[in-house]
Amino acid sequence: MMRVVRSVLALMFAAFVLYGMQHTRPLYSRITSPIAYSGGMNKRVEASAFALSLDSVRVARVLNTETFGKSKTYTSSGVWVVVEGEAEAKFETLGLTSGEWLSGSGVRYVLTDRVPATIEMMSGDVYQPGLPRRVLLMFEMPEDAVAGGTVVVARTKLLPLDDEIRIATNVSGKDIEPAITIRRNDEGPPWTVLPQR
Amino acid sequence: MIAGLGGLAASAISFSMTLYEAAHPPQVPVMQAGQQIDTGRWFVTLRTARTGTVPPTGVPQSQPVKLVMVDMDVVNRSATPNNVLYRVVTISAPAQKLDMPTAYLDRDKYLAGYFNPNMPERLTMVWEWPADVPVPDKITVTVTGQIYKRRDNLYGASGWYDREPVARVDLPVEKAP
Repeated sequence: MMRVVRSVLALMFAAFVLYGMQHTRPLYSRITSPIAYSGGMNKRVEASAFALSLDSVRVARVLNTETFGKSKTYTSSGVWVVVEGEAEAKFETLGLTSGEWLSGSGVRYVLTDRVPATIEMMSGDVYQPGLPRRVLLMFEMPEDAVAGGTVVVARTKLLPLDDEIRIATNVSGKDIEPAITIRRNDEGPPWTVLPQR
Repeated sequence: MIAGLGGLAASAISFSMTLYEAAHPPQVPVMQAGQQIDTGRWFVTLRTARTGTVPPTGVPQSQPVKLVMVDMDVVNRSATPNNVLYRVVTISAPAQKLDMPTAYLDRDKYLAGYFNPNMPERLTMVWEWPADVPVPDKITVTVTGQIYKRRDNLYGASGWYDREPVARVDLPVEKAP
């Protein structure tokens, strides 16, 4: 009899401990989340495999693209955010395929897939060690997601525990231009953001 | 011995539940076109349906096929961009399995990619209809619900999971050339 009671008690205790652990331990997504290196605008932020600096964030209601003599207008129910900077691989050639805008309230917006691939966005390029390269990131988001946003860049979205660079932008979200044009250049830098400022 | 009996009981219960559910299909609420449907992850408002051979890009295909197109408004209510609408909005053809639909963003008249959170968009979902089956005058669109689990049962990972249909909408099918 005592033995039965004891094993029932032990079972209940185990269930209690497991329930407690299930509800107090960090989430799986948290345990396997990337290792973040944080920084601010106009600073070179170093992760273990690559480095990134951002120098310009512009917000516009309409995005125009000009590539190979073709122009197209992209409207949005929110605003367009165009970010420019420089990225460099440190030890081996790599791609930076994942770019996200993390809004102040924690909602994520990924690099737009609406603009043509002839406009070279960060995710389409290859980064060689020792050769810093200009990067262009374009996001589409509701107006209230702009202020206090953070740009999050990683090699890929699929590798847990890989590096990730988080750069806090200092945009207020108030300065919204009516339209921005991204032009693909035939020579020199691969693109120009117009109007220049 | 006890574990074996337990397993047997579990399979008996699960089998009888499946039988019961098959015998008593859940009642899916019937909604109207233009009504906003809350699926959990999305707000979906179905607008109109039409059939034709020209996809929403306006460029006829080189080998035209019968298409069934459904216009709708969607809002992604989750915290991450997503484009898996083909599991949320489904139609069915009599005695045939339809291929996965293609989504077109009305804004661009081009293939839709990710739908960002809290950004209402109008889109057209396009299904290829089997050539030997006539398109009915009315199609039934089923909208499936999804729930968010903070910890799933396998890894304890967070994610969205498909649930039962939340609405059924009958749409008249316009005939376009």
